[in-house]
Amino acid sequence: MQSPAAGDIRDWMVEYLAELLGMGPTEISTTTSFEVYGLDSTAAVGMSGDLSEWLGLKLDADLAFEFPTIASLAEHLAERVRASTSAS
Amino acid sequence: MNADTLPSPALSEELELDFATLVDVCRRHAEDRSTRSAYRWLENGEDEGASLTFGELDRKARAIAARLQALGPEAPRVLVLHSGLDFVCAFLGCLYAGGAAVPVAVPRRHQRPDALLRIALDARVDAVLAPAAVRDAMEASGSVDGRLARVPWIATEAIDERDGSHWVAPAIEPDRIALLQYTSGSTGAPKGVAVTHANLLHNQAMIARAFGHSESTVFVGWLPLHHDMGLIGNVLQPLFLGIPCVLMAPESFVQKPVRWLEAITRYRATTSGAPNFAYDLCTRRVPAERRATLDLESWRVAYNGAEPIQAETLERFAEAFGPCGFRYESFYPCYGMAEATLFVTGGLSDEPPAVATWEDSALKEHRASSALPGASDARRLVGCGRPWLGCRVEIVDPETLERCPPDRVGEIWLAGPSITSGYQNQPDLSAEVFGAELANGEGPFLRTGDLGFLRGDQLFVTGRRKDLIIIRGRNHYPQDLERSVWASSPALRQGCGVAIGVDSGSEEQLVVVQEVREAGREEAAAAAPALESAIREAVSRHHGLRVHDVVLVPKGTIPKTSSGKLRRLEMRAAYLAGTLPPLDTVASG
Repeated sequence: MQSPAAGDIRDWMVEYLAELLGMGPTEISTTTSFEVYGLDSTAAVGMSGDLSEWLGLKLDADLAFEFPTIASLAEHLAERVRASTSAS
Repeated sequence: MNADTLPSPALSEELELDFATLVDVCRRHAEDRSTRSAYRWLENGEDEGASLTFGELDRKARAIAARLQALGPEAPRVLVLHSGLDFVCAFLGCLYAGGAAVPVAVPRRHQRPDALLRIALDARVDAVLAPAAVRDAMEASGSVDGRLARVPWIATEAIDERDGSHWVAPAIEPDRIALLQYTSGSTGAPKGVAVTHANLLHNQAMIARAFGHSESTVFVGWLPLHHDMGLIGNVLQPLFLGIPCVLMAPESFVQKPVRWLEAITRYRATTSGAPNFAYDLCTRRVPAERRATLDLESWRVAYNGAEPIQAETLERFAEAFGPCGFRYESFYPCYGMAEATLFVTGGLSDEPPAVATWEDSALKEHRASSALPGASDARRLVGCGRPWLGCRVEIVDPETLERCPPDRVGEIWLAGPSITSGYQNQPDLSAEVFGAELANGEGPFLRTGDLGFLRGDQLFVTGRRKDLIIIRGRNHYPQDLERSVWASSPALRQGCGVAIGVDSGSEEQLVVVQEVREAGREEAAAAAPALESAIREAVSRHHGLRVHDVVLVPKGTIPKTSSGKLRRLEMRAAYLAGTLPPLDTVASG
């Protein structure tokens, strides 16, 4: 599989949050803070786990606090994916 | 209901009889089983990290205690700001010094340290045990303030084990306080439960007996160590028994719930448990292909406590993980609270959970009346077992203070050697909660604020009298949530909003009912979405909780008592009945 770029990761998170929060994907903004969606800490930590599973990366549990929007988190993760594929 | 006496495993019998304090227990293990594994930590919930034998634990505890003894106070109170196995060593170090541990969560970067500062002040701590890195981070964010700035901080990792030679074994009377357990309390008025050595040992003996523990018990756990269920259950019970325990961080579990079940598989754990939500999380989030690699045959006691236990959760979990060797009979529903040290009631460990069906309409009128399963008016409740080892449970009418007849739901009152002496620095509240007497003068009892009834050898918990909100096993005080809500926008009326817990059928959910400042009808309606998201954002940021529903109401909606206290239970009833006035009604008064 081609490693996911920031755009793919953004799309993945939009889908993920839309399903989790029971909203339509078009209602999710990639530049709005996760907190505005009222995401609880269990869900935020769970998302880091599911992202880690999908991307095959070890991720910190509090990632969504560090990078509090879909856009910033996707950017960071795409960087990590690039670093790990070029290292291997 | 009185506890009967059952034959107990030889091990716990011996521990019950021979030891006055937890320090005595540890010292004995250091002699008897010095090189045996006590604790193992799993990094990321997967990789084997630090480990401790009983001998190493004793050496580290002595070295930490020697440092604390050098500070002077005979019974120092020590804030423990650690996670992982360092937490276990630091906790025991406090006890070895003859002091009391005050465990708190290590603050995260994005969290307000207010609660921590108030706890340090309330507990009048004499010292702080924390890694240097935690202190540096807190200093950088300006959180080393108030009492925390005036007491010595000891960087536990820098302590040389050889310092243990300076340790002087203190004479500790059994009723000395070993632990101040802050019940993730209201930050405005933290409540520290004062737990003695005698309380701890009695509770440990109860757990050992009720859970059917023995020399061959193996623990796996991930609950927060500074919290009563993680500390008394997962850390101290294995220590009491002298058996091995494998621990991981709560975040590791929440990130990938399969890690919990993988650890049970890998270490052939026999006892492991969590609040109800964790079993749901496993059913929902452990992918089918990962289930094939699990072997849960060894899991004999899957305890479930700290929040309402749902029959559906147990059934779904057993269905999902039955093919992995999980047995439904392994579920061990139990009831407890920090005010009673931890464990209060539980069933027989080899029997399946007692699930029974009751008439819901009768329960609402505080009557317990059996119903046929599947009836339209039926509510299923999971029994939480019975008291053990000299503990008593009484069901009491909270108004008349008389014992309830068997078919009535009343407040659960408790007595026995595990009941703690009260809240630190709160004599009035302690007298009210811990010093309750029946109308006939019998007492004292601990008033739990929980409602329930006894049927056969089972306690059924039906709800709560107090307005505490319990989500995923954590207590949330409405006062704290409300303060955050009020601060979220100047358009909200300060002091005129309530946070309430509402049972969704599968879990408790948070609802906010809040008055808005006077505004024209159209303006108020137009501003509502922005106010709602400000409220959601504030609660998510400061408490890590999702608000299930926000209801904005006009001025004057929320009733208060004559002393100005919010009537939360009344608002809860109005919310459930759907009788709250919409925002565009004309404000009265």
